[in-house]
Amino acid sequence: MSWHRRFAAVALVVLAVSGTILWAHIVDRYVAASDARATFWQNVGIVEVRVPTVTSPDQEVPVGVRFYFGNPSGIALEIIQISYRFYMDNLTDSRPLPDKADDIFVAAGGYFPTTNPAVVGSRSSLDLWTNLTVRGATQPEAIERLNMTFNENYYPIIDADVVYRIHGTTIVDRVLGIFFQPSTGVPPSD
Amino acid sequence: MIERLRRTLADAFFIVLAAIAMGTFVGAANFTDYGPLVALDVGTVIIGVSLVAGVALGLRMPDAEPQTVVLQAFASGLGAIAIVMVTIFAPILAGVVPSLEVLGSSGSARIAFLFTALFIVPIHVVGNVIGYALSDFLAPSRFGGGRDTAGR
Repeated sequence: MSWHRRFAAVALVVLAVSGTILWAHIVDRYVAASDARATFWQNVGIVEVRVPTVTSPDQEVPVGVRFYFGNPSGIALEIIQISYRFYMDNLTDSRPLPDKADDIFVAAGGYFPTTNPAVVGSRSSLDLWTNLTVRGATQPEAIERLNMTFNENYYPIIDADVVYRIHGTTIVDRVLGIFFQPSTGVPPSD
Repeated sequence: MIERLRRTLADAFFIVLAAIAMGTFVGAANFTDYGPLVALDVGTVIIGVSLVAGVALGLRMPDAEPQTVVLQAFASGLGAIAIVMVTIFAPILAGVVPSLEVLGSSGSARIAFLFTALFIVPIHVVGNVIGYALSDFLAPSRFGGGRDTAGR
């Protein structure tokens, strides 16, 4: 075989092998990212809310909300933003939430990291606490709405959305309508 | 007979290699958002890899008839386009999504990917012809460039 035929054969083999390695890497991440984007909304939720007893109208009340993120896909996800609206249900008001939202809204909270967002690893899960503080001195209406119990339980309602990025990519996606409304209420956390 | 079969299989093998080389690079270049090992530009990859693979394939076929060269270039080009299509529809083929609309991907974007991939074929044919001419130029003179020179 002449030298140029040999050179051409080697060039084709090198191109094919390097292309296959690159392609396999890309397709693996593409399939894993597609799996994550298709199923992530099913694996996100609010699992716990902590509201301490309100003892005075000018108290500073820290409210904790714990989010759960499950990631069964093969690629990690970065939680780059969580935002939510915190309501305290008034059980005597039987209107649906969209109608009574303005009357029971307490405060907005979230998770807005400027650097190093939380990462949900591949095939793992993450619990993330977010906090919001209701300051009675400057938010008298909010603290009054927060201090609403029935049978010594709080009945919080939370409507949240999450923005996440596929780790190592520029792909950003959003999950809307993460809802928390326990039917049996939440006891004070202290 | 056996020699002819061996040569045919060898040519088929290198056509498949050329198709794999072009299809994988172009497929990877279309999905740079997913964090490639190296940053690739789609246009550069289509032109560069198709041309190089075409020249390499053409260099390997000094004894072939010109129409065979073009046909083999078409075959490897179509193989490359098939690999690009597999890349685009990989999530569906892997069974992780029922359709690409779930990912927010539009049909027009997919058509654009496939349309740009079609340019592999003509560029690869040009590369093959260049490689075929080069192999004829580089062939030892006593072999007449591998062609029948009885008419000269």
